[in-house]
Amino acid sequence: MSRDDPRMSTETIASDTFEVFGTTAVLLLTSHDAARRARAIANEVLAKVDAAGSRFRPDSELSRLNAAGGARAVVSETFADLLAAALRAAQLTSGDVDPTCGAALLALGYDRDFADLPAAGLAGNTGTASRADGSLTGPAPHRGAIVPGWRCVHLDHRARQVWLTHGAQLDLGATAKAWAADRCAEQIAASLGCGVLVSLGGDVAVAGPPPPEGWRIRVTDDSAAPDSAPGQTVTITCGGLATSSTTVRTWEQGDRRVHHIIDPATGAPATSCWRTVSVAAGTCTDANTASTAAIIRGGAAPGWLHDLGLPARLVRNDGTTVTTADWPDGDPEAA
Amino acid sequence: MLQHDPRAAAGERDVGLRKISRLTWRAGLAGAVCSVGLALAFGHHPAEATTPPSTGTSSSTSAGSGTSGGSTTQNNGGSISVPSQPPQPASGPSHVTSGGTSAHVP
Repeated sequence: MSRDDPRMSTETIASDTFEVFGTTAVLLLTSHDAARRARAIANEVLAKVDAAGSRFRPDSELSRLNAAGGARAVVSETFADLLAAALRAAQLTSGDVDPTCGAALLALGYDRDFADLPAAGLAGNTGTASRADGSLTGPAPHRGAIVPGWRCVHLDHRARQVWLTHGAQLDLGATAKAWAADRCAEQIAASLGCGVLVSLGGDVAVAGPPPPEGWRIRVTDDSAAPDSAPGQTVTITCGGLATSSTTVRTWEQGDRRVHHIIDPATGAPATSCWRTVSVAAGTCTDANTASTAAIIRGGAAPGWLHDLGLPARLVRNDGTTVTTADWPDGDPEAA
Repeated sequence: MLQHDPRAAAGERDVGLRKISRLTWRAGLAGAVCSVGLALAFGHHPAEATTPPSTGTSSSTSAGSGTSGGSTTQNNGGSISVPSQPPQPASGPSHVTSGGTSAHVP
């Protein structure tokens, strides 16, 4: 079906929803004929990413590297690419998005996939970090574990060798999901020639010819929220869109709420004036890099995003919004 | 023997003080101009420091950002790529939702 076909509306888009990485993946295609092959391509990419970069699989390349005590490891092409993306994000954000937050996340109790934590995102006001099932994971520090910094990660991409220094422990969660979305969309569009949207837990990448009206995306605090949740609907036709939020995966620590976005400067959850930041960029990886960095940068984020020319929507903790670059005017409704 | 004239001495002192004052102002002005020049040449707000620093390692910085339809700066290791078309306003039901994710992946 031609991209200019005005009949190609939502009803003509093939949709495939499945669970991966403990979250929901959505594949949307402008060709129904391509659905099965698209899923096969996505499955292959996602399996490689999981085997390479999962922090919750002891047999993953990442887990083995973290346990290697600084020894050099020969890694797969997928792992090398994932790590290169993470290091690039660190470079472009002056270290605000850092892949060496593994120890800090462990100290906060993230030692298994959140999908394994029923009703995750809440806990009693116990003064300690606790899982949703009530099992304590040890005190959650006001000042987190030391983050050695991305310069302690050494990648020889050509030789596909990686080694860590200064006790660095990798966590690629800040970029890997977005990278996987980019890679799925890119490979599906290239192989099948249709338009595709890949959403992995709300990290959205699109490629190929879009539907005439574009891909409609609701930006809101929680990717699992229904359309009726406060937010804004926009369309994109290329690149990626990602949202970072401190409102999901949270629990109470004493009199404060703790979330999962680590500020590398402190090793603790970032203290930000923004609860949610959505960014559109040339790729989903770049969008996610910018949205995560914006949470950490706090009040300096709008100026930074504006100077980069990145369309973004930032939601303050009180629900009011700020937009940058060419992000469209918002709904009159509250954020 | 020279006669000491208090008035002449005071006058000479005033002239000297005025010269010193002028020199001080000129030096101060020159310093201010130089400071402004240096600030314009080298000054950057920390939040604007988007140029990646040298890695100091053998890390590759050219891969890994995907190729799904960005601008000409896409995959440029030196900057975050902007979309070739910005988001547009929309109404009606959405195809997908972008928000914080309740899963920690991968």
